[in-house]
Amino acid sequence: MSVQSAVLRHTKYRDMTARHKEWVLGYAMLVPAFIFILGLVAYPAAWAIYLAFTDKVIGQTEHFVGFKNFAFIIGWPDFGHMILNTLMLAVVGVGIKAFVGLSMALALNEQFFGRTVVRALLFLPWTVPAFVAGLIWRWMYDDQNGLFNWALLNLGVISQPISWLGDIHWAMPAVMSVVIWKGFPFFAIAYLAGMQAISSEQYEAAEVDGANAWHRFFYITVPSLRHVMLVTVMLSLIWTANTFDIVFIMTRGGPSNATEVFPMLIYDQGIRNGRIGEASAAAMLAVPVFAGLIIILTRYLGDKDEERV
Amino acid sequence: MQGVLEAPAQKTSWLGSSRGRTKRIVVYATIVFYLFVVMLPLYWMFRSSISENDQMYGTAIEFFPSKFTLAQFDAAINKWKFGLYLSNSIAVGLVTTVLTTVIATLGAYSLVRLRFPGRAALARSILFVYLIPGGLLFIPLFLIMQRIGLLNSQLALVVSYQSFAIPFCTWMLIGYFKGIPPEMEEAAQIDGASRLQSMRLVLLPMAAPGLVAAAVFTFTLSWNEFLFALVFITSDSFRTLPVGLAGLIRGDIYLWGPMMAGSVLAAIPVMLLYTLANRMLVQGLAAGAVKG
Repeated sequence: MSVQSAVLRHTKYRDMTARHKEWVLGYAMLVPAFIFILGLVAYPAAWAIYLAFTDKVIGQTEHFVGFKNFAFIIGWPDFGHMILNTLMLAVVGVGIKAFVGLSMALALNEQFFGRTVVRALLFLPWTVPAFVAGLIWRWMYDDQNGLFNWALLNLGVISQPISWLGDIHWAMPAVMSVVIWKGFPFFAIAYLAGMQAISSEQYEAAEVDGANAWHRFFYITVPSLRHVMLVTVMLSLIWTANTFDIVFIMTRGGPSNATEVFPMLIYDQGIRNGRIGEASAAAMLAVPVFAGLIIILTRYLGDKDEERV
Repeated sequence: MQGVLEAPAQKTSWLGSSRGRTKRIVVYATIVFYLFVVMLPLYWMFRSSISENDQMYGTAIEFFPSKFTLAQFDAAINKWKFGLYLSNSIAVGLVTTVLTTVIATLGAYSLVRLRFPGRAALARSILFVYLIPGGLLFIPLFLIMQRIGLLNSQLALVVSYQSFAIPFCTWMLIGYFKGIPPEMEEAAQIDGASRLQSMRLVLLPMAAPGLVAAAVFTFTLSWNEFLFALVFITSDSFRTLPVGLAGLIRGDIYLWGPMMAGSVLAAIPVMLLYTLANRMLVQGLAAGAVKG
């Protein structure tokens, strides 16, 4: 009986059209990837939505509490601080990264001595692990023994050491400087690659027609880079708003919440305080923003992918 | 393919075709400024890793050290468990990379070479999943790891890293496989090879550089990961390098020498791999090989 049915199944399989075989193989090869994706992304995401409506605390069973967590989070001053800090870091940080990256790419696209070596050197921060970048800068910003205070004191710019990471006004710019240093080569490489795709003839023709440098920049360079600019800025907004390692290493969100950004708040509330319910609610409130960015990006990168040879 | 970094400068840029003096001054000034900004922290890391303690702290700081020592490396390795963190990082990185690359190769082949309903939507969902930030997922993942008893084990990291490594690696390989013309595989199939044989014997050898690059980037994603490693590991003996080194920041004692020595050792392999793989930069970049 079982042999018979096995033979039958086998014949059925053989009789399927080649097209259907391709379907089966196609899905089968994706099964491992989607087992992980469903188990590690879809399932946790669904669970997080549920947890946001409970009073879950690590080590205890949860009870359904309705919108209580959301009401708490929205009225919680720390949450407001976190939103402002995250916006500040993401918007200002990404803006500066994009500007610095563009100016660097413009310079690197010119003829100069030692170009290949210089290009490789200038892209080094991109290759440095973020936690290493965080450690180096944490050390340079050290109030007693750091390079910056030593240099500024010796140059006579300041007479007292500045507590960069312990001062509520300096802490965010200090963290942002690391994020920018680590991140701008990403923009520079993307823009440089984009510029290399613009033909010299276009510029020459415009020059012959009497367009000045600014005209050429705004009417040829910028439009050609529009797509790559959009994509890099949106990608970087998502990543920068989710900076955890650098913030954790440099300030742990302090002083007095001055650098408490999105993932840091979730960590503090969820893991350190064990308040899973509130942490999940805070994460849920951020979902629409990230989802919007990701949906737009998926469309852009997906379209680009269709063109990719 | 020529790398972005080696490509020649453009004959004519927006600044015009002239070789004017002003233009050259502006270009050189910009480059010198950025070189300084980029190299200063790297120099300071290196310099701190080879200095004596008495030239690193307080008023005795020397910008150019007058003495060299390997004592900081010695302390990092023999006193501060650098070797333990390193072997944990390597173990997690290697297992993650092998698992991810196999799964992603199968998935990418399916999405590029096979035709079936829902293919485009599945390809997009891979990209969508890759872009979901870990900050949204680590709380429920923590509870899942706790429930299945993986918390505080390296397996927790290998498993959780698949959440971003598989989508990343698959997306990168999709781009690479698309660049390889299917005619040779089709010829092999006409000669009697099965689909899987044509993939294994024709496509994969041709895609070897792309596979290597995808594996390298996947390894570095795991090597650099901080948040999951911090949350899912509670005992020091399972810590990976990022969290292990960051644990040396202690308020009252100065461990910056060993920490910088450890940083040099942690950064060098990644910096080397990236510089060597820079021909693949654009593909890696499109997939977001490193978050910028």
